[in-house]
Amino acid sequence: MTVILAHLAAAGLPQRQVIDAAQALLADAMSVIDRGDLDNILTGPVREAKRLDVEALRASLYAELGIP
Amino acid sequence: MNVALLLLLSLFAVGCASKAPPSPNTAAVGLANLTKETLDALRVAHEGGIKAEARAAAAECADAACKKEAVDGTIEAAQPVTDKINAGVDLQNVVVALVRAELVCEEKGEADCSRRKLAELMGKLPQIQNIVLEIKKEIQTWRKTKSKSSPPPPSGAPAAQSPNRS
Repeated sequence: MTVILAHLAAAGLPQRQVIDAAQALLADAMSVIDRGDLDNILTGPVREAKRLDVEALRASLYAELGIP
Repeated sequence: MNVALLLLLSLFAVGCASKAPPSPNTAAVGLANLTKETLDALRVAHEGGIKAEARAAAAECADAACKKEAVDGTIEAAQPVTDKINAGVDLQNVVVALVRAELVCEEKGEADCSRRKLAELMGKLPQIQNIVLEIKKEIQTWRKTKSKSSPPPPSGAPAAQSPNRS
């Protein structure tokens, strides 16, 4: 906690804002992320999230269900 | 939650301390990665839900035309959740771009870049947080709608029309 706050305090951000954001994010993350992956997630390189490609999903279901 | 939070932040702190000298960006990357993983997990779960629902609806059909309607109907009914997830992903990727720009800024040693970019980043995190909450609510609504669905249609009829189209 001290380290993360020190990192962000160096950028001049208010600590309350940091704590609120970190708590909210962790609460949501813990409900969907495997705890075993957390170390890599927190310290790994920053990556983009993927959109849900509806047309690819539709094509996949058509193929699976034999729909021409 | 508080114990878990301290545990996770300690883990994060140990990871940060062992790999690089202190930087505001280390924390920003960690927070951005958390939102990314959260959105990815919600997307994967939603995609799985659509597939399961479409398969179940199509199983009631006797021909390809009916199956096609079942798949299309399921995807259409799930569209509000899909849209919400994709809006969250788009915002998340703005955050990723900010973090990357910030990392470049730090490498170049430019003055005041950390303060400016990180303030912008932290301002976007609550927005993503709100979207995540909305996604969860939409998913719950979608599941409730499915659980209240009417009995399967007669063989050959479009299976996914009645329960999910609203």
